[in-house]
Amino acid sequence: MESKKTHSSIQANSKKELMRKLFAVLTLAAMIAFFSLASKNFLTFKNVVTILQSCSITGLLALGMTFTIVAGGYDLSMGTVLSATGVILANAIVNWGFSVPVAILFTIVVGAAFGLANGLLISKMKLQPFIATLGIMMVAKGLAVIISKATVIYIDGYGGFSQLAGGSVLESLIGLKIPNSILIFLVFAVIGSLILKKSIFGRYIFAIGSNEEASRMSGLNTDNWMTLVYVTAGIFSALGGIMMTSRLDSAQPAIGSGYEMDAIAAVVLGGTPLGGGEGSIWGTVLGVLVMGVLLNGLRMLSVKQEWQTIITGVIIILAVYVDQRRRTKKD
Amino acid sequence: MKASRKLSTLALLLTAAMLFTLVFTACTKANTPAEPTEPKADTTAADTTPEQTDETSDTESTDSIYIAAFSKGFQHKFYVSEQEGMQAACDEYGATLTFEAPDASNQNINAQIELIEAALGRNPSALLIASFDATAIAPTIEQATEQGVAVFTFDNTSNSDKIVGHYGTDCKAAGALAAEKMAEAIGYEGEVAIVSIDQVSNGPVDRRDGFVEYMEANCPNIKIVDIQYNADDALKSLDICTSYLLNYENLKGIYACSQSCSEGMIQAIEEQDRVGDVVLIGFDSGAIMQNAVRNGTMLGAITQDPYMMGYLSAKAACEYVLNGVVPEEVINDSGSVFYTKDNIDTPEVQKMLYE
Repeated sequence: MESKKTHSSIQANSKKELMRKLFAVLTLAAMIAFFSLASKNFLTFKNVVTILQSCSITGLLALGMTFTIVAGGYDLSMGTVLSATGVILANAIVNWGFSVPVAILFTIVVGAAFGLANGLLISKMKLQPFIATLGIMMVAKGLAVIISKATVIYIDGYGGFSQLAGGSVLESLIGLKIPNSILIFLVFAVIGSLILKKSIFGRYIFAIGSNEEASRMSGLNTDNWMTLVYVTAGIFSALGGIMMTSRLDSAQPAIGSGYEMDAIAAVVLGGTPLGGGEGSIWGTVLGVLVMGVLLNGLRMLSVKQEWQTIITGVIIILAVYVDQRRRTKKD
Repeated sequence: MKASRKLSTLALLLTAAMLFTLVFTACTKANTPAEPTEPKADTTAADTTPEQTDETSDTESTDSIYIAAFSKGFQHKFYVSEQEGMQAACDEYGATLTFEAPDASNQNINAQIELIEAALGRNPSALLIASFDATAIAPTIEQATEQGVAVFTFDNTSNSDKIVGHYGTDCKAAGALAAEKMAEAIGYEGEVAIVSIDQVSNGPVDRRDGFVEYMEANCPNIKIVDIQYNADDALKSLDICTSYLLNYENLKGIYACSQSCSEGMIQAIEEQDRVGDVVLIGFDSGAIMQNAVRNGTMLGAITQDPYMMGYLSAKAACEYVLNGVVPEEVINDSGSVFYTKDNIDTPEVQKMLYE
C-alpha cells in the first residue's frame, strides 16, 4: 500500500513538473516574441549564438546548482570555485607546464575537491549549507587571488586552448558556426538530466531532498550521497571555470563572484523550488535561457543598465510567485 | 609568566609614551601632528614617539612616521604599482607604510571604512585613501582630520574639502584625450559606444564624462549610441560589446573605460571577426591589451601612472607631516598617456604599463 502511495505521488509530481516546464517554456516564448518585435537585431543567427554562448558558463553552474537544490541545499561557493579553478587551470597550462588535457583533468579534480569539502562540512560536520558553502566561497575567493598573484593570467592561444570554447566543431560537421561552448553546455545538460532522472544517485537525491530523515531511517547512507551531491556541484563549477578561461583566453581572479546567485535564480525560474525534493535539469536549462534572453534583449533595446537590473529582479519575483501560486492551488 | 611580564612592560611603556606625547605635543603643537603609537605594538618597545626614538634604540629610527594607505583592492597589478610608488617615497623619508584594501569579496565602501576606522586606532601620521565612493568616504575623512590625522587621496577623489591633497589621473582629461583620438581615427563622424565599470566610482564616471563632453563640445557629427556597464567583469564586457557589434551596424568605434572592459571588448571583436571594422580605444594596460595594441586589434589605450599616484601622494604626505609643506594645489594630475603601436615600446610608455 505504501508503494502504491509513492507511485501515485511520483505520477502527480511528474504531472506538476510537466505543467511547470510548460510555464517556463511559455515565459521564454513570450520574451522571445516581445524582443523580436521590439528589436530587428534580436532574432538573428549571430545574436542567438551570442545569447547561448553567454548562457553556457552560468548555465554549467546552474546545472550543478540544480543537484544541490533538489537535495534540499544550495552551493554558494560555485561562483568563486569557478574563479579559483579557472586560475588554477591557467596556471597549470602557462606556468606549471601541464599539457592541456592533463590540466583540464586536474582542474576537474580540484573542483571536485572543493565540492568534497562542502559535502563533508554539510553531511559529516552537520553545518548548514549556507554556512559551509559561504565559508568555502571565501576560501576559494582568497585562493584565486593568491594563486593568480592578483593578476589576469593570459594564456595567449597556448596549445589551442581557446578553441575549446571558441572553436566550432559543428562548423566542419554541418557548416553552422556554433561555438563549442554551447555544445558542451548542452552535452552536460543531457548528462546531468540522465543522472538526475535515470540513475540511482538521482533517485536518492530526490528522496533526500524531500525527507532526509526518512531516507536515513530507510537505510540510505544519506551522508555519503549528500557529499556526492556537492562533489557534483564542484565538478560543474570547475567546468564553468574551464569554459570561462577558454572563452576569455585568460583567467581572471575577479570573475565569478555573484555568479552563484544568477545560477540559483535560473534554477528557481526553471521551476525547481528552494527546499528540495522536486525539480529538473531541463527546467534549469529553460531558466538559464530566460535569464540570458532577458539580459540580451534589454541590452539590444539599449535599456539603461539600472533599469535592466530592476526589471530582472522584478521578473524573477513575478515568475516564481506565479509558479508557486499555481502549485499550491494544484495541491 | 613570561607573557604577563611582557604585557606589563608593554603597558608601562605605553603609559610612558602617552605621557611623553602629552608633554611633547603641548610643546611642539605648531610643528606636526604627533605620533604617539606605532601600528605594530609587538613584544619590543615599539611604542615610541619620534622624539623618543633618539633616546632609545637606533633600530626604531625608521619608524618615525606612519603612513596608512587604503586602496580598492589587489586583484590588479595596478594596485601593486601604487604600493611600490608609495614604498619608494616612504623609504626616502624613513616612514612606515601599511597598504590595505578590502578583500575581493568585500569590494565596497563599508568594508573600506571599517579598515580605515581600525587603522585610526593605531594613530597614523597620515592617511592615503583611494575610495570606492566619493560621498560615503567624506565623513570618515572629516573624522580623521578632527583627530589630527592628515588625509590625502590618490587615484579616486572624494567629496570632502578636508583633504590636504589629491594625486590621481585627471580622468576627465584622460577621457577627453580618448575622445580626441577616437574622433581623429573615425574621421569626425559616425556612431560610437562606450563600456564602463559602473555609474558611481569617480574614476570611471569621469573617464566616461570626459569622453562624452568632448564629443558633445567638439564633434557634432559623432553620436554616442549606447553606454553599458560591466561591474569590472571581462566576461560581461564581452557580452556587452558583442551586442554593440550586432546591434549597431554602422558602429565606428568602441571606447572601453577600464582594463576588464577593454579585455572583453578585444575578445568580442575577435569572436565576431570584425577586427579592423571598428576602432577600439581602451583604458589601462595588461598583457592582453598590450598584445592587442601591438597586433592592431585595438588602436590604442589611455594609461594612468599608478606608480606616480602612489609615489606623489606618499611623498606629499611625508613632506606635510615632517616639514609642514602644504601642496600648492589640492588636486594634482599624476599624468596619463595615449599609447599605440607606435610608442608602446618606448621606455617612457613601458614604465607606465604593466603586464
